[in-house]
Amino acid sequence: MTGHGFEQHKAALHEGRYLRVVNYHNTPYSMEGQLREELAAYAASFACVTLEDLDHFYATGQWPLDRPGFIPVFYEGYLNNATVAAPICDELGIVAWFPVITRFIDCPVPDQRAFAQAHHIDLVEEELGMDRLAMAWDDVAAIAERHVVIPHTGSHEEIAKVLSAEDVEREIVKPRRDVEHVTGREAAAFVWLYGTPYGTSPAQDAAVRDAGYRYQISNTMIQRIGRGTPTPS
Amino acid sequence: MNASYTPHPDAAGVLADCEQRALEREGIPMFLALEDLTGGLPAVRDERALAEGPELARLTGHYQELLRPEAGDDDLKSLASVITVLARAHFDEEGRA
Repeated sequence: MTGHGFEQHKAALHEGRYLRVVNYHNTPYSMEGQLREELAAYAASFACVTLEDLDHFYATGQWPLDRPGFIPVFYEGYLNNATVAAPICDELGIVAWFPVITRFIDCPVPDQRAFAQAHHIDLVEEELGMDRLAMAWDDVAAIAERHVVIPHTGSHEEIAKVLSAEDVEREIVKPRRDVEHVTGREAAAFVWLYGTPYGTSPAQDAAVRDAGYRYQISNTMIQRIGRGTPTPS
Repeated sequence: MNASYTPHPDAAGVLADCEQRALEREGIPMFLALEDLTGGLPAVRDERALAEGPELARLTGHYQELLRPEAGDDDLKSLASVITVLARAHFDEEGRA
């Protein structure tokens, strides 16, 4: 059964097709202690799911894990995800997923605050005075050595506004190319602003699939949308 | 392996608590459904998921009836609200078990 509603979700749960995730956005230094404590508690109960683990589940119907799986997800490409969250994950042996807004990372430092304000990227009060708000591509490359980095659109654009070929290139295609170029690893999954699922907008769905993404992550689902050929790492 | 989870006695309170959270700085637990649009996912054989999943499905129905009885099946906002309550109340049942 496929779809997006209550019945489909309950069917997936009933059939054992589900996964625990914890969605984070900003992880400022002021939260460092709380975040470490929280992630340590999750790590004690659950096993982190890598892209290979997810592929294994879709191939076999079984998790290659000794505990229930979970994914900590750090959204947007904030600098504080690189300076606070990633080091804590490394310290705890946690593999996390980082969906990044690639044009936020491209954005010149003096313009990052304005970019964030114009693109639904929430900032926390204690960081409003900081110069740099987004990761640099070097941060992305370093994180990808131990974690999963995927595009979260080019500029945090909502699906209904990605209409022209230029929009598709900027929001869907180039972000994948950029992440793969910098990390040397497959950018296997895509996430829209607001976590819109696959199956609601045929043209944009086709664009995501044709760009080579194998998974789309939404607010309520992970959907395998293609099998593709994984990019060699 | 059997799982038996008890519904939270104050689901409305849990929902209100979830709605008060600062999404820009707090970790929000969720249970995501896994779908395969390529038609290749074999039947799940994972014993743990098969034991826990029906309980989570039952609880989802319970919270749906309690918290969003008027919501249409494809009301994704309501679905997300119900799943956040499910996750807030039962995310670490396995860890506690």
